[in-house]
Amino acid sequence: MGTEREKRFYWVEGVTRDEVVKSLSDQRPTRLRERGVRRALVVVYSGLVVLLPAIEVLIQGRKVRSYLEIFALAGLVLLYFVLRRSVRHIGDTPDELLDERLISLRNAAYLIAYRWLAAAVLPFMVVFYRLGGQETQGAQLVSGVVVPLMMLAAALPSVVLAWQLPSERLEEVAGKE
Amino acid sequence: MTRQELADALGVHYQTIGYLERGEYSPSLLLALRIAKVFDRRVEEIFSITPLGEASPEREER
Repeated sequence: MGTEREKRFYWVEGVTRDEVVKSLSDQRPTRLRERGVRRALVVVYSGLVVLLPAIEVLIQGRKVRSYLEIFALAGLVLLYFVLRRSVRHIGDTPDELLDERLISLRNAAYLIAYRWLAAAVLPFMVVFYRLGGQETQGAQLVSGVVVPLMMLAAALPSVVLAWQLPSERLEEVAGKE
Repeated sequence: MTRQELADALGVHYQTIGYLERGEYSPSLLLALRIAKVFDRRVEEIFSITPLGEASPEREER
């Protein structure tokens, strides 16, 4: 029964209890939790989110477009999980697994993420109308607008945290006196 | 007592203890009371709105 509880999957948040507990209690030093590395991840992730609609609008050759789409999508999915790990899954963790400081950090990140998302919808609508004006297949609208917008929305709280959180202090990593 | 031990006693993340020590995070009343209980002290002996060790206006008046 205890194992079932540890393996509990939070469907809405997309995390398991086990991975969150491990991530939060991980005291090994890692470059992934340095601010510079986190910010670099954010820049690359944002670049890939912009790349997908750009591919759909600018690349005419179907074969080249497909290869570039696969490359960008694979990168987005991979970076999504790396970004979540870099902020110890705080952006996707339910209240019951966080303390009050982490809850307030997560909630503040959601507020900023919501504002960024509201602003990000506008350029995506431009791409939508640009693609809609051409003889476009539905798949192009999905890859050029729906998927990047969904990936952006899903990762934004972690993106905000990755951008804002300071590097973890070495003495804290050891959890010493 | 290590940060980890105190964090376990309070049910918070170990980094939160570091933030509290450095004054970079103000705990809720409930957490402040729980910290006071762990150390068997009154809450105002541990937390203050003025930097600890600095004379407060009230003290100066007395």
